[in-house]
Amino acid sequence: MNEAVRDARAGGTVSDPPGAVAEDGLEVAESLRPTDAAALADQVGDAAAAGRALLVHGAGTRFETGNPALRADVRLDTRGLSGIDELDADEGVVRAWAGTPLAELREKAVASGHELPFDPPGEGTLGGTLASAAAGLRFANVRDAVLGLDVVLGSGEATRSGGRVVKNVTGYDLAKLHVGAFGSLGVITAAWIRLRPAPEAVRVFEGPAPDARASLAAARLATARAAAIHDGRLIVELAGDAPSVEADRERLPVREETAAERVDALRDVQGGRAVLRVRVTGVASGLPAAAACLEGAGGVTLSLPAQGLLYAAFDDSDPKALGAALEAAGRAAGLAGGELRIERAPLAVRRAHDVFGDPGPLRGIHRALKQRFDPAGILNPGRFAGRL
Amino acid sequence: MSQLHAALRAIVGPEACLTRAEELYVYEADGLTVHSARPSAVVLPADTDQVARVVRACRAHGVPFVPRGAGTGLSGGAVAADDGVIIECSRMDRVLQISGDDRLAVVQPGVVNADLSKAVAHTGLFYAPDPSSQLACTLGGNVAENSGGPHTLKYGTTTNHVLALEMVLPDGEVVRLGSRSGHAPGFDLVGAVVGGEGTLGIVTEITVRLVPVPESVETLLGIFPDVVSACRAVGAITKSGLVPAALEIVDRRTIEAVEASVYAAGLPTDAGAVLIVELDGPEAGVARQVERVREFALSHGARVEVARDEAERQRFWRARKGAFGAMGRLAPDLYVHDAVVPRAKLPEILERVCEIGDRYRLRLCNVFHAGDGNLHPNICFDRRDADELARVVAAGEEILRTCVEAGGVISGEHGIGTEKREYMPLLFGEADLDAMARLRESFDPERVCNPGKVFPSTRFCVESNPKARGYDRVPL
Repeated sequence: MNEAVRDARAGGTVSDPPGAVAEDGLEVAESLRPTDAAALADQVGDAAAAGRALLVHGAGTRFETGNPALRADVRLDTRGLSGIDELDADEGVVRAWAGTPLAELREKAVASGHELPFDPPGEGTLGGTLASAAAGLRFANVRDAVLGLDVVLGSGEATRSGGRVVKNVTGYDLAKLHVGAFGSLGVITAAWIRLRPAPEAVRVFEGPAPDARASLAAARLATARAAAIHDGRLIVELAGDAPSVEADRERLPVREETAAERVDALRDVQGGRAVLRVRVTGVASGLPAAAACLEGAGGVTLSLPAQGLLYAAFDDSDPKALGAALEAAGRAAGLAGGELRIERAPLAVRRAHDVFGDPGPLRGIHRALKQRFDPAGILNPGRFAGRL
Repeated sequence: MSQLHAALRAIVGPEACLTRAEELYVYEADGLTVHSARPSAVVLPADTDQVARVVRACRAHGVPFVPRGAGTGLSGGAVAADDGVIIECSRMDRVLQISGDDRLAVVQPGVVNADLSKAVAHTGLFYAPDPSSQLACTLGGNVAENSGGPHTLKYGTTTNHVLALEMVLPDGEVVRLGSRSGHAPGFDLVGAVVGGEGTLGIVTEITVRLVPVPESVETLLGIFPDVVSACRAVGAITKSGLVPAALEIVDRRTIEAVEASVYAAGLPTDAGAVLIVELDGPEAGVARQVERVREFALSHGARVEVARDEAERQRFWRARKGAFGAMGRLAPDLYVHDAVVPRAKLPEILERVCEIGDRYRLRLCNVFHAGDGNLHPNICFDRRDADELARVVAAGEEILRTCVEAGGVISGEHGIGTEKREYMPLLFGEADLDAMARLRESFDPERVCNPGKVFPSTRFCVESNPKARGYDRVPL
């Protein structure tokens, strides 16, 4: 935390000098870093009244994913809202501010006998992880770990949904709407998260990937917490109680024991800085053909068969090659029976393609939600699906 | 109205359109008998197209409509407001597709919860959410209420198991949300609609995730001297990092009711509480987990039995699953409450709940999902006794306030419906409710789809004059 931020802790905002940041080819005049939720709500409210467009930022690790902003006047940095508000170790739940680094949360979770249910590539913030629903190697369903959410809507109101308890149907589950919305409906300021009990045993094994069916069976073992196919290798992390892990080890088609860091390293493919990186989702039976299609087009793939996720990275920046890669990615999504998302691409590609895919017949509902939650259209304008 | 009835008959056929008073009588309430209203008609469409046409006909006549499954809901969610039309989906009861390889099934909303697991049994998979009403309740209703059940502790609730939906929007348009992979471009609309209590549209097809039948299942019965020590044992078990498939407590008053009924499970009626623990997973791990749970129970003063076979397992569960039926014998009406508190607060809250019941001179007993902190105080009463009914309502409100003060919420799995709409401000401020209204209005700007639910009546005067026809039995 720098001096200025610390000084402003009592409540307020830190402003970076104008012109300090540029995003998506747009010069952003100002960067604000509110240090409490009330200040953030004020700023969003002021921006709405003045029609100033906000680019909402955590650590920026996921910022590359998104359509180019249509307008950007102010960068709103959530990292001033940082820290753990309450960690209930008995209950296995934690409330933290959006700007809290995942690393800090992870450390505190481990110290309390738990593990954090997020492991996305890069060292992002809690808010950024939720806003981008950032899957990792082990934990793909970010939404399922969120118990309650504080959000400042585009109109400036500070709102709360859910709660701290692990089961709750009190009112609409608004958290689902904001998780994965890339800050287009509101700015997440804090969250209650359900931690996972720390596994007693964790062991990682790898070897040449067997056929698709055997790989899938391995990925679906009861204790398989992560399972990836990359570069012809199957890597499986088993986690759970020791006897169950031991029993599953006997069932694994790969036998070379390796370190847990092997799994962490795969996140470099999942979130790497290739020229073009895509994510294809699909059903288990469709992924192998989709992976073959992407590899045929020169992609380096990472397949997470149990989670129905497939990543591919392409390094040729020639426009023709990029076009061919995108075309293959579209075909792969069809083969997988799922959806294509462009997670990283040059600006020109992001201008030409909606990186999230088009909401299609649901465009009307998307627009209605955007209009109601962000009536002035100031939150990340143009960046989300349907260029909302 | 007769014009609308004629239009509805033309769409679904005369035999699938009910308008006579004696036909409508059973549709006046759902499982919560104290809130009731007479619909103007009930239609039983055969397919999505009929649902869409019924919705458009209702729109054309300015009449609200309410989706309904089996009517087992416990918060009044399937009751029609203001002469509305009930769209019952029970005829749409086909399992359309089962894919063992992809671990999913596509069903129509009228498929009964338990029937789905039976239909997919040959794949070695099952559908995990198992509300206590699973022999009757339908998947469409489960989606509306985000239903839970005893096994949500490990497996999650309905929202964790729905991949895609087809639904008829309140303007009659048919859309598909989500996908077989669970991902779709844009907002997580499936996540928003599950638990939407049928206010965002009418779900006509559901794609659900299936999970593997565990290799091994063990069920233990802990017999405790009192309910507080049972709760403490639950705290010790969850804190240890064990994740049982179920952790259910049945209190002494419930045991007495069960043992006096056809559901008798041979439980000692002098026990203060019984705890049912189910552990599942790989055989090697479960065996050791059983020992750990046994030790936690013993050290909290319990006597422990481990089911030796399936018959005994079923007997243990009978104490839990037969509880509502057993209590139904005791009085004409049963009010099943639903609230959640942090697990560590369970012992203290239970004592207060029982004290509240005693103070209001009510027959109150507890059967609950202890592992989730999800309380179900049940009150046996007779709604024809106005004084008793008033005490039931007052005690219920006090119980909810107590749970909220303890950091809890007012519904864990039954929903808000008409039952708890006036209590929403206990948890949510004006801005929070307004955010929910923004979601509602994005789907249903005119609030014609299941009006009068979820939101407090003061919010939308048009949809919910509390004195309006319908919710007049309970002064909320």
